[in-house]
Amino acid sequence: MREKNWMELMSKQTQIKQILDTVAYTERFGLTLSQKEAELLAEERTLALKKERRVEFGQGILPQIIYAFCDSAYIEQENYCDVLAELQEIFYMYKNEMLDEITDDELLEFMKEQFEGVCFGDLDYLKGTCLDIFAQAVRAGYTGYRKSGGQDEFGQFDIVRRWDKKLYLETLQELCWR
Amino acid sequence: MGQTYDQTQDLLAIVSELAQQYLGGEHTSMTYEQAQALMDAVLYCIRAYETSASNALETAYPDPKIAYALGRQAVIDRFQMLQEKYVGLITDFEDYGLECLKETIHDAIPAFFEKYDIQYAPQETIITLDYPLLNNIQELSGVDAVLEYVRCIASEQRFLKKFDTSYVMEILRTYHNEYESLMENICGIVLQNTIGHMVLRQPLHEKGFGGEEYQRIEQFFEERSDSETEQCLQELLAQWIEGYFGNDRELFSYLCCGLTDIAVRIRNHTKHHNLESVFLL
Repeated sequence: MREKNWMELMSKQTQIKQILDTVAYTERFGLTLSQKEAELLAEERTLALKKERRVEFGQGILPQIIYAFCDSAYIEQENYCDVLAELQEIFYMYKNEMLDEITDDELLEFMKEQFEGVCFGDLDYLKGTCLDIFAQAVRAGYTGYRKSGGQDEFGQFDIVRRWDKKLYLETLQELCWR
Repeated sequence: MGQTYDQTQDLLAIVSELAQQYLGGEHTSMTYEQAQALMDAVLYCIRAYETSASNALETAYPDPKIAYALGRQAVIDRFQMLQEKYVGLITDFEDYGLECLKETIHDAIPAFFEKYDIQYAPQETIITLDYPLLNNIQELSGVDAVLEYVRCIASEQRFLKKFDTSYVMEILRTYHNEYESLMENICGIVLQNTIGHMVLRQPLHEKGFGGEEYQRIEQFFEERSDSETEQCLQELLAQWIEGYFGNDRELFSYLCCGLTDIAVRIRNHTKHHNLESVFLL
């Protein structure tokens, strides 16, 4: 009864169907998934959950990841399946790293925002920097994301001074006037 | 556990429903540890159903969901019973100055009432029951553990209140000058002392034992083996309980739990001719 196997008995077929159901929405962005890719993602889900020692009940997170990221400027059909698999893994990892203090929606909002605006589609940067820094803040007791829903959170923790409009104009002015 | 609840799929469905309530729509996954805790919660309730007196005569197990629901109700009923017993206990509770007894009853148990999670963690005992009992309740957990603990403390109170408070405290002070900070069972100390009176048929108000009394007690025990000594103590206790407590089987049963250790102490001190350390007053 205490064996972990009972936790892995969720129907894979249900997961595959849920993944394929998203195609009706994502194809407007030029993104589709084949049966084989859906099966692969379902398998990746199982492996990721096992690796992170997590259990999913009810609908998994992958459909929500798909709906959140399908309009990304940095995802194309060629890399769609791979990116989804990695986003899924990153999601479970950081649910653990943030001790389940953050809701699914808040984490997805943060991930999407960083993926687009800071990481420019770089999953390694998303995983190794943005999320890592934010997770440290959450573990230390930061709860501001509850009000913001995960939006505009990274700026206060960012350790890199990034480009903004004012900085851009200042630099452009300097270059032009040399 | 019962004979039919290896139906993993049925249990999984119950745990899944409980998990979704627990996650509250804000999370779609949880850690292995959280999931195992919810499974433990479901099993605890089903076990509560199986051990419920009202279900004792059932010959066929109901649907697992029904067993879980009935078991959860059984847990709720036990929690309410515990609250009632606790109110009865503290109405006239005497801690005899013992700090760990006072803290356990006045601080720890109210904390249990505040923090006990019947729905998601009924199996968790949450608190540490520092004051030791005569019996071992380690196999119990959750509300079952605390309910049994309160029952045992209530039995101890019934026993100890047969004596004047000052008499009990005098025995304890004779046992250890700073007994207030001990983490020992005081009922066992008083019971042990009382056995001396039982053996000699000496009234309790006749305090203290002299050399002749100790010799008589030694003679009484020296030719008995450990098991015979314990048997003898049980018989003495049974007579004494019947005389002073009527048919209080619960009290008798509880006090018997302390007799093994008392018998060993008596045998050892009889061999070394220093029963003064056992029978104090």
